[in-house]
Amino acid sequence: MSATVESTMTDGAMVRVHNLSVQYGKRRVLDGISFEVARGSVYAVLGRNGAGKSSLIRCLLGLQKPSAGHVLVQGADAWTHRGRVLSSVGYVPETSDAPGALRVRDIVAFHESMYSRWNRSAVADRLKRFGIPERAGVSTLSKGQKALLTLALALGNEPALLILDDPTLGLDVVARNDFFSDFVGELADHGTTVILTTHDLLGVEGIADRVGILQGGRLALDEELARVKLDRSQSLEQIFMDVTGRSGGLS
Amino acid sequence: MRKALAVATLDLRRQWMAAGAFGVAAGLIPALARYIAARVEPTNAVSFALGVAALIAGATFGSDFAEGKSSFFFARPVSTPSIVAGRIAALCGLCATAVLGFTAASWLSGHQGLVTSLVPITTRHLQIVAAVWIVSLFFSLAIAANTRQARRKEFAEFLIGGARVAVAVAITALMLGLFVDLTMRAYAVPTPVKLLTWSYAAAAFLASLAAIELGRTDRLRIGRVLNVGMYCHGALACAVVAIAWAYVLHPGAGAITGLANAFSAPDGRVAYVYTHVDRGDPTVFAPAFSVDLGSGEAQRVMADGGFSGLDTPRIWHSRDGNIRVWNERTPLLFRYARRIVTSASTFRIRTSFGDATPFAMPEDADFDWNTFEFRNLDILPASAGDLFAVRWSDRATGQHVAFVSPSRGELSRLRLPTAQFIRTWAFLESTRLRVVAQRAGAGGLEFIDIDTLTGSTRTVATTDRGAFYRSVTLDASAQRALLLSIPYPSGPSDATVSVLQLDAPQPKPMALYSGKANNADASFLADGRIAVLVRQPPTADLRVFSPDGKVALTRPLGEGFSNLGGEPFANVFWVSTLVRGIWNVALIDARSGEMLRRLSGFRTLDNWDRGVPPPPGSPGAHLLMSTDRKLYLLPSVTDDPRPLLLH
Repeated sequence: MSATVESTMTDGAMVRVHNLSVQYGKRRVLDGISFEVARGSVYAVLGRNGAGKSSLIRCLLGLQKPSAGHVLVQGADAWTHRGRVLSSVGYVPETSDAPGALRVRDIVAFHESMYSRWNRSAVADRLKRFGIPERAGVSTLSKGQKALLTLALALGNEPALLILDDPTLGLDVVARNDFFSDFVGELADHGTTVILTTHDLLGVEGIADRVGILQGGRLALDEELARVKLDRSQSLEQIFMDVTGRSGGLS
Repeated sequence: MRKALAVATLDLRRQWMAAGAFGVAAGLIPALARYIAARVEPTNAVSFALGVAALIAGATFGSDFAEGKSSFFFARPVSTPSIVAGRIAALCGLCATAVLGFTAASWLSGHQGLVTSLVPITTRHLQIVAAVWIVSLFFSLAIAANTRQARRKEFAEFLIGGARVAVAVAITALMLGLFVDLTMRAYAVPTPVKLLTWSYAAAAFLASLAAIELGRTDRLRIGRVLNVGMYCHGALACAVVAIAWAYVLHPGAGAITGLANAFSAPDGRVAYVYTHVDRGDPTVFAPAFSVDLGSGEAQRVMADGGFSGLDTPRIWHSRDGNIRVWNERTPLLFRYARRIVTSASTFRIRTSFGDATPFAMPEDADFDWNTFEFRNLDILPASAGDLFAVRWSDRATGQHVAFVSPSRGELSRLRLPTAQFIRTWAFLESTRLRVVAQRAGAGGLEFIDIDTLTGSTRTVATTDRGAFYRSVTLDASAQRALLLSIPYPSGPSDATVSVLQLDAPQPKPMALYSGKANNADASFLADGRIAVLVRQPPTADLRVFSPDGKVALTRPLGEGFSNLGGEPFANVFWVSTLVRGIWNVALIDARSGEMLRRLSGFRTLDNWDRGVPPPPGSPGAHLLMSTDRKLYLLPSVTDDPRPLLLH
């Protein structure tokens, strides 16, 4: 796990989200949220379906223009300086966005051209470790393999910020536990900032430094995980249920 | 550059097989077509292959977006220009693949074995690639943006959307109406159509680029940017087309650079000129102006020749010149649409007296949709001003004549027997119209009086069957007809000039001249005498006959005299000559036959309105056109011609 994060992190912030609103037509999915993510920390964004997690991720990646407010990544506006911002960001989408009619090695070659810094051997090692042959077609990979492929690619440029959008969606229980305990933890220990959205509260409980819970487009909670658990004497799941209103199960 | 190439490489890897397969298929088309005895040009087959390659390449943005794959590119540090540049490079690669596939397939399938000729890639092919790629890019994005926003719309949204579509359709229809009117009337070449088409292509391209950059993965923004882009271009195009329509089709007199043709009205007070102006295409666009011969002022008359060409004025006069009627050139598409919707004539004809009065054509008048004109339309206003004879023809049953009155509606009508058509006509008085009809084949002429109120007819005279008259002219009172018989083509042959007295008890043509001639011309003089010009190269003979047909004067003229003009002054008439390509006019004294003056580089105006020249001494009778197509007025026999309009 990363070092203790100070409660006021303005100077050391990797990501600063200020008064962010996103609106699709008349529907407002994010409504003036603000938070910061400290360098080297793990920030978990939680929320029920439709809470605005994916919209937030898209704003962080410069894929979505905010209706109001802004997102700064390493001091640069994510929308207007998308190219510069993304050069030091790794991204693992909820479902693989790689075109299916390609081989793994084509995708790897494409990514290698995208980044000035690319650790080819590390990517090859990871793919080998995940059991993904480079000659395989992307469309022939299982859902889990695709998720692991995108993870390997996201780490290829040794990013300063890793954004994970529900990365364990296609993984089995063992792989999911490995992912959180070994992978993300290790990354954080090496100083990589991680922002992830997930529905796996147990997995995130052991690694997140700070959690934000989105509810109805607003950031209902933005606290250090350890402190909020201590203050409330509750597990993360109980806290989530409290904040989101308990009705219905976790999504 | 590196990133753009990476995008291009990735796209090529995804799509080369499809482009190559269509290239191969296109290469087989010419050979396969031969098996069914059809012929497909290889260049068209290449167009097909290239078009499909461009379609595939252009649809990449839209299909990636629709499949949720666009973040694959936008979530990587590659700028939008690099992505677009990469996709254009991929387009080039796919086209090359398609051409390679085509060439290989056409070589292998050639009926002479390996035919190794290459199909050259032309500018047209490149245009097809560009156009298809842009269309594919735009519509794939638009479709993807709309299919991904599948949600229930509220009723108000439907209303607003419907109203927006209705406004867009109305504005587009207005713009297209003006554009069609502009291009069909003022341009022979398709340049404006190409300009408008490519402006839409450019707008679609720019709107797509803006949508990609500003929308990225946001379907709503992509759709909105596409809409705004195209609406803005639509508004701009409407404004430009409306301005161009007003500017090109409505020139002022100052825009006139030359004359295509000129005619004098029968009263001699007004001339009509078909002009060349500093806009439009001069090969088809000759805007009409009326010129007040007293003041010299010209006014635009929306009576352009249109499809009928420039030789036939689309302005009709009563014989005394007081009533004028012309086809008001309303925008073509609206006329067309209104005619379809209302099934009624919207072909407005306006009288010139007082406030222009809409004049509806008979509803069943035969409208030719190919030329947007009534078939063989002719109108004769009666001098009284409240009666018009209208004739038209249809392909099936021949000519129709109707009598219509703005105040009383249609009074009567009749149909001439099949294959019979009217050569000339004149009102005797407001209740009787005299027509000269050519009977079917070489059936001679029939002079018929028609009662305008009842449509009943009475044959006044006929000519022998077998006689064909090249020219038939009625005099001012319509009681005498001048018949000119000379075979086509011109050459030494039997020519006859005869006069027919129609109020005689047994009207029979009386020959004024009969003999060999290369050409002949004849006209009534204002005092009732008849001038006849017979051309027998190298010279021509002028003969003047008294009203009862007796020879009053014979005089040989020199080389080249060919056409009689009107009478500019009392007892003086024009004769035009064409010698070695140069027009000349001579003023001839009608009493002595003496040549009073010769003006080189001028010709008389065409004798228009069925042989009714302006009265001697009126300004319209003095008009001349110079070889460089400028209008002149000859003030007197001795004065120099004075330029009108163009100085």
